[in-house]
Amino acid sequence: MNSYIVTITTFLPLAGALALLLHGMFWSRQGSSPEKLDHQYRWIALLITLVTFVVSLGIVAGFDNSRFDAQLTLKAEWIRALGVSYFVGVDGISLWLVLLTTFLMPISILASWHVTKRVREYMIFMLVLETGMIGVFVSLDMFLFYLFFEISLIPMYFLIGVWGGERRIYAAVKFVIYTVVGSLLMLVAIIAVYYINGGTTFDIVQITNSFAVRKPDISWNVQFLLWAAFALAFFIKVPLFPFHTWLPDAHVEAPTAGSIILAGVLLKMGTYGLMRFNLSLFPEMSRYAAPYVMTLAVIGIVYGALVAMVQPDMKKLVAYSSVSHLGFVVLGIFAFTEQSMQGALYQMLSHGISTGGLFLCVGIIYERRHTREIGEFGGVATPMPQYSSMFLIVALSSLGLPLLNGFIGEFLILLGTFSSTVPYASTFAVIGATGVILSAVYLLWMLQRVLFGEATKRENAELQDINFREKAALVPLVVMALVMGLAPMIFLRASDRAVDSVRALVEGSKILRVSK
Amino acid sequence: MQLNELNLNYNSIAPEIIASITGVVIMLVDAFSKKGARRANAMIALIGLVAALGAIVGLWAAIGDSPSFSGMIVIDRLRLFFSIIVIIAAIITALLASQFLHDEALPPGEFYALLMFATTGMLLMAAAGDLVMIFLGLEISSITTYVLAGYRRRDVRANESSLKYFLLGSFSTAFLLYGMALVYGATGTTNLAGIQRAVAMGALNFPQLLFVGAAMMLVGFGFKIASAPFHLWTPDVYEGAPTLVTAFMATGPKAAVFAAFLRVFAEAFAAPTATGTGWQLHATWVNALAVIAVLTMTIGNVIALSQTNIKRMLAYSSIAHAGYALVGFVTGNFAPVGFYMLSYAIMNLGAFAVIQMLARAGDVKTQITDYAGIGFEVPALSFSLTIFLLSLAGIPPTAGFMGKFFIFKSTWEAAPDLRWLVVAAVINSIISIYYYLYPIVVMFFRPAPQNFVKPRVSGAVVLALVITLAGTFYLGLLPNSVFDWLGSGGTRPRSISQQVDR
Amino acid sequence: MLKWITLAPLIGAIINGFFGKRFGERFVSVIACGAVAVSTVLAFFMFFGKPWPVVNGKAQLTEHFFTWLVVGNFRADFAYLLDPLSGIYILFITGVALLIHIYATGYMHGDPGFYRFFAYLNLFMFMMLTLVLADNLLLLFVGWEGVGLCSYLLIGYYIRRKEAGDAAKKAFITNRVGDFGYMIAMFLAFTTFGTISFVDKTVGGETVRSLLSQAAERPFEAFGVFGVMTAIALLMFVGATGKSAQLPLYVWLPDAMAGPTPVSALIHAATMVTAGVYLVARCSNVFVKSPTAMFVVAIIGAATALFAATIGLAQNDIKKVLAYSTISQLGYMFLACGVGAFTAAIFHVMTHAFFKALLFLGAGSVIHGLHDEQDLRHMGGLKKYMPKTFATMLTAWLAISGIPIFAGFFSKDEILWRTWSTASLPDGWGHILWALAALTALLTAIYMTRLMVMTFWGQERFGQDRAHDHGHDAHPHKPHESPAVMWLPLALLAVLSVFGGLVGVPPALSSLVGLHSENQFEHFLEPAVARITPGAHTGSGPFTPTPTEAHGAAAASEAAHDVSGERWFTVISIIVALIGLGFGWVLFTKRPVREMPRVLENKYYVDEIYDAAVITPIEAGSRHVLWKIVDVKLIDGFVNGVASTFAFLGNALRTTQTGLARNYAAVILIGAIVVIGYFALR
Repeated sequence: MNSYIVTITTFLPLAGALALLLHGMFWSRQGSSPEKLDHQYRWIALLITLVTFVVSLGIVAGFDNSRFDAQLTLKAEWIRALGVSYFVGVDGISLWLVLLTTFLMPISILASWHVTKRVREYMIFMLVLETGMIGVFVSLDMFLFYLFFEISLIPMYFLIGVWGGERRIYAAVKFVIYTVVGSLLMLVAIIAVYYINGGTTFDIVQITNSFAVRKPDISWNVQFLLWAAFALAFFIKVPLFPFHTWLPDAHVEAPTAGSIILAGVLLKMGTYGLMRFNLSLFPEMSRYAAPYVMTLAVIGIVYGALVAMVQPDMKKLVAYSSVSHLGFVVLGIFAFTEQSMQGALYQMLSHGISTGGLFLCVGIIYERRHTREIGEFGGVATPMPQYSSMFLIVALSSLGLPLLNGFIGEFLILLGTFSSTVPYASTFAVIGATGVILSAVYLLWMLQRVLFGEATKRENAELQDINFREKAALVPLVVMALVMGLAPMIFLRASDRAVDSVRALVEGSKILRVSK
Repeated sequence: MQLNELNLNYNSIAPEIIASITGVVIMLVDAFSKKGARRANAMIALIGLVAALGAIVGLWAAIGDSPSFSGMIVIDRLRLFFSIIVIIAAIITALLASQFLHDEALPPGEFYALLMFATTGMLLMAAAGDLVMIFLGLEISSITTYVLAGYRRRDVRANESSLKYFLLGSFSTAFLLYGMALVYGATGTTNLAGIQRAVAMGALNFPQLLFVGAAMMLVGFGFKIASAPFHLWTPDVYEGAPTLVTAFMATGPKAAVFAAFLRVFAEAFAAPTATGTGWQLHATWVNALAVIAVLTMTIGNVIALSQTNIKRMLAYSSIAHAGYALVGFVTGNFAPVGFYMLSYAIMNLGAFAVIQMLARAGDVKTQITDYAGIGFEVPALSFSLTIFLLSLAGIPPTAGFMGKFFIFKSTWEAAPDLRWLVVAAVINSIISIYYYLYPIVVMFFRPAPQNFVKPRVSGAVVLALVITLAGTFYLGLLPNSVFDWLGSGGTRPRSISQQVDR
Repeated sequence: MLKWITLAPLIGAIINGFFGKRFGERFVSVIACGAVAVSTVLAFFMFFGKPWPVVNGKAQLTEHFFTWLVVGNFRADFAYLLDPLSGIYILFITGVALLIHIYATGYMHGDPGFYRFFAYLNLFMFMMLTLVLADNLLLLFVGWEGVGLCSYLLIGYYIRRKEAGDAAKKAFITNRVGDFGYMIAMFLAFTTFGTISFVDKTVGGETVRSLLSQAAERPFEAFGVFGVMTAIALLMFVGATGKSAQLPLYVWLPDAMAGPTPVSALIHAATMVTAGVYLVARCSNVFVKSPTAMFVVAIIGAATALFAATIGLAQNDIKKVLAYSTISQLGYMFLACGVGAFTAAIFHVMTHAFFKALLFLGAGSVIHGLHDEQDLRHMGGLKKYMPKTFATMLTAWLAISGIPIFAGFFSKDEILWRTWSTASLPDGWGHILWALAALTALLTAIYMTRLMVMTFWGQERFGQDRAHDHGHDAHPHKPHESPAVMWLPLALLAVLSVFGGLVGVPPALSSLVGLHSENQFEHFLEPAVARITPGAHTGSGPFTPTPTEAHGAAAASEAAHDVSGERWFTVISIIVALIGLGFGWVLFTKRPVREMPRVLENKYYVDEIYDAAVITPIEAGSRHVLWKIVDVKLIDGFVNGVASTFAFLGNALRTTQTGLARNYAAVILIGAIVVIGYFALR
């Protein structure tokens, strides 16, 4: 059982998708009205995602905090001819990301309740997407990883393209092309790494270990190219400045649930990949590149925040805030201290919660008013007190208020970065810390303009407060924000060993001279 | 020459015999049955093809037997694997044909007969162990294909397509033939095994002749597989010909030609040693092909970007795919090319099958914009097309991805100094994503049309789609067995010389 | 035990937050005040009671609540520390807060958001107490940001008022600017000491000595030397300027008056705004290591005191006057810190809490009585309408003006004397700053007199009703005295403002009446804070900061005081106060409503300047450069450019497709020639 639980968690949603497909093909013919069918689809999807979440809790239960390596693994021969194996499992780094995915999924389904267009297909795509995302995090075989990395692309492409806003086509295509540019080059790098390691296996664990034990004798330039190939793919996914411009478009056009998943999980694939591949496979190169990467990260933090500040569209604002927050994550990853890297991982999770919540909140009033223009609102707090307090808490957690989730991550990252040995690290930390000020600026400014003041527009004065379904989606996020802020050790203990092993790998490596 | 040296082993050509006989039978049946016994013909054709397939599978046991008919026919993985591709192409085409012939009210008899003869030719091409045999097979398949291309007699586009194909085809065949002649002149034999030996030992009358001959054969083959700069005919012909014929042309003959191409260059012109003429020749054609590959991929993909007609777009895409295959070709190993042609054939046939349905009788709806918003009107067809397009784009977990991955991997391993080819191919696939996404965008992301009439889809077509879809995912997810047919995915086929020397 | 002091209000907040709306005002009032009462009782018990014998000044009581954050060698717990410093704080915080809570139940009566208000107020208590009881910098920061949040919520309490929302936002963001400094200080402290805890901790097996004791052993950084201690100190002070509204970050406090008056009394006068002083005192061991930092603190303090006082002269909103007066008084406290008189600073914090809370509550009572009239120009002659309010405010007025016996007198006088006789500043500066402080004292007396006169004396100018917040009906009322629930707290605070100062009578004065010659307050607090010694700023001279020796050292330097000098200066400051009172009285009884200098009335246009110099440029730059140009034009332009380039190429190459067979043949031929050529020549 233990060795299968990861696999089950991964493919349960896919099974659900198939179920929906068949349900639509065969049972839907008989009688029942389309509305009723759509409702069935929603419930089925919700049920599946909830079950998946419960099952994924089993992973936590079976997880051993004292180990740094992959656990609950399952390895099976797959494609002999290519040295590809089906190899899945979790370690401290991927564990919580899997949980984050399974946790956000039911919420996204709830957030999609109002979708009336092609509900079945919508839900099918959502479920396939979930399998893809979980797969990325649990894959311990490069080929498998790439497979899921790409698979997760298509459903999101459809979600944006079919259920998105006006400029959805441009956004969807941009999203795919951007990602593919990175990922295909990464594919080449994967093949190269495969042969550098002797051309026997794509097993990430093996390759990482053998790379760590006996440094592969490849020239600095080759190493740089490989590092860059991986890095590019992940930088685009993160997205790190200046590879970020796909994000605002994608977010603005995507349906609410799409945005939640996109920001909550898809972006983490990038930061996760950086830890899993760039740092683990090419520690020296990562060390060497750290100052440059951190420079971009810091630019991203400040730049993202400043641009977010002046957005007239709420979703765009939150999108740019993601650029800023993910900048923190990258900063932490490349500072190579225990605090910073743990903080980075924590920030990944809390960003999923907070930003997911923000998008949810934006979606809720969008459903009511069919606009996201900040200027259209004002005085929403009077008709919608419960909604407003939730929105407030979520925003506060996003701007890093102590005792809420966002603070832990940002603080650890900055603390760790400040004390890092990477050149100029402390300077980066100081500059990055200004992001803490700015996040307060843009978020509170938005709240101020949306929630407070006199409700000038009639349609705002008559808004309905959140209903049970919306509460059911929001409350878990709020609770999570509090739990993560008050008891971070629950999460940090599990990731401690794994993260530290990566850090040790990087710290242990000495920077090679640049050989011409 | 003694009779027993000829080694008249008729088992070795069982598939070809079955195919040709089936063709004849169809003609007879058609002649004596009342007009339009479409089903009967189709049935016979399918039975014949399945039988041929059986025969091919049966021959698997015989792999390694010495070539028959004094080296004219060889029995090895390369032949059998490509034969399978050919047969699959033929089967799918036959399945698609019945509705096509019905909708267009075209005489079924000739069609199936021609299809069978074309198949015969292609099988021979794959099986050929001799330049002459290659040429024979090539001509048989070509001429029949010319006719098929123009099968819709009253359609001007079809006629144009057919004529162009014929003129340019013969033009390039001339190159091929002349090349063969020169190679013969240089080596004194048309038997590939002999040629290989001669090249390896450098026992050549006039080395220069060999090179020029090789070059001309390269041009000839290059034309048939539609590689740049010999690709220009492709778009016009593919667009003009009836969709299912296009599907057939783009897959079957291409695969067969690749088989022969591999035989001649990857085996006969291979370099056993790292010096001497053989090595020189090898180096030369590898470099030439490398350049041609990049050219082909780039031209195919870039021009495809600006296409508005889906058949034309797929024509350019097939050019690009020939380019990818050539990237695998330079390894001198047939496995990657073989696997790639198989997956390419399946997904391409699938795509064209859907298009034939959507285009309706007379190929009236072939503009991509014609498909605006039909995504959820005819979900089955649209999603199938989507999957085939994504597969062509190389998105996992599909045949297209697996094929590309296998090619990249093999080339990276086998040709360290040609790794830039892989990078070039990757960059090309990035470009290609854009135009493969375009029809999907149109189908699903555009508003649905007002008065859309769902096309009639016959059972045969459904079967064809099921086969191709299944194949696409099968190759993409569980290709183990296929790799086994290829000889555990990667080992070179035992070369002809070894077989003869026994 | 300690944790319940903080948890009681938190529980209250939760209960009121979730159920308050349902159960109505009485319930809410009981819960809220009860919660605070509990922590008040506990605080007094802890302070005077058994668990912590206060007489033994060295005693430190720590309590581990739960392990919060442990990553690598970093550790921050949810743990509390009770020592003289935090002890004094919890005493007056809980005490004053309790009174204000009770008062608020009357003041907020009938407000639709009653439950919300008290939930916030209780939450604030939790945060504030966590702040002062925290045993490490991070937990202190939790409270620090927490009180900021509550302040944000309470300033913006009237959610429909735009200016309230703006003020709230401004307060939070301005504080965030300060917090930026605080965070960097924390990082620096951690990298320097390997801990951010005020007490020894065990991290990963071995014990790490507390930040304070480590700081005490650091070498001295002579004046002008920018060492790590200077950096930490200054960065912390940046945080303090934000929270305690000092130059240049004071701008949020006046606007914060948009909140309900009890909030202004509790948060923006008595407790939260003194957190900055607390931080400096708490980390005094760090500060005293750097005369540079001390100098900056003193200068900023004195400057703010004077600056705010001048503005206070010219304000017409009764709460605004008090706000600027608060800023000014906070300036005094920092001045005291800057000259090394941390005990004096804390002493003034406490007395100020009494009389400033009283002033605000009194003002609130006036506003209440006049139905939300805040403009001094529409008051006057109120003493006969609300005698209790008048009487109580009278004491506060005298206290803040520094009339002997009243609380403010002792603390302010202490500060003045210590400034003059300071050892921590470069020579001469002590006297300059003393002059500034004295001038401020004069102004204080004047503007407070102005406030009192305009409110309670002179002819009655009220009656012109305006629009109200809680939508009272608009026809004119007679002003009325507030209910007992409101004036009783006033009375109690009045008592404290009169006698509260007696706990800290300096020997120089107490000896006059032949009492024991020790400043009780100072003596008690001494162990918790560092002390400065003569010639410190030169970097020479012995230094004894650690609580252990401090006690003895206190007595020693006590003796060193020039007693007669101190007495003379006391006389001077009394004279100054009286001059101020008299001048103000004459001036404003003659003409209460008189034109004040424009520049003062407009607060030196500081807000406008900030807006033009900082906010507008940043916003414009972000919008027009970063977004519109960098993002849209450059990056996306490049991306789309690549795409269109390929499209263009495609169309260009397309033209090779002429459709003419002969052209194709020609191309094939050319291609063939090239290939053959290559093969032939190779």
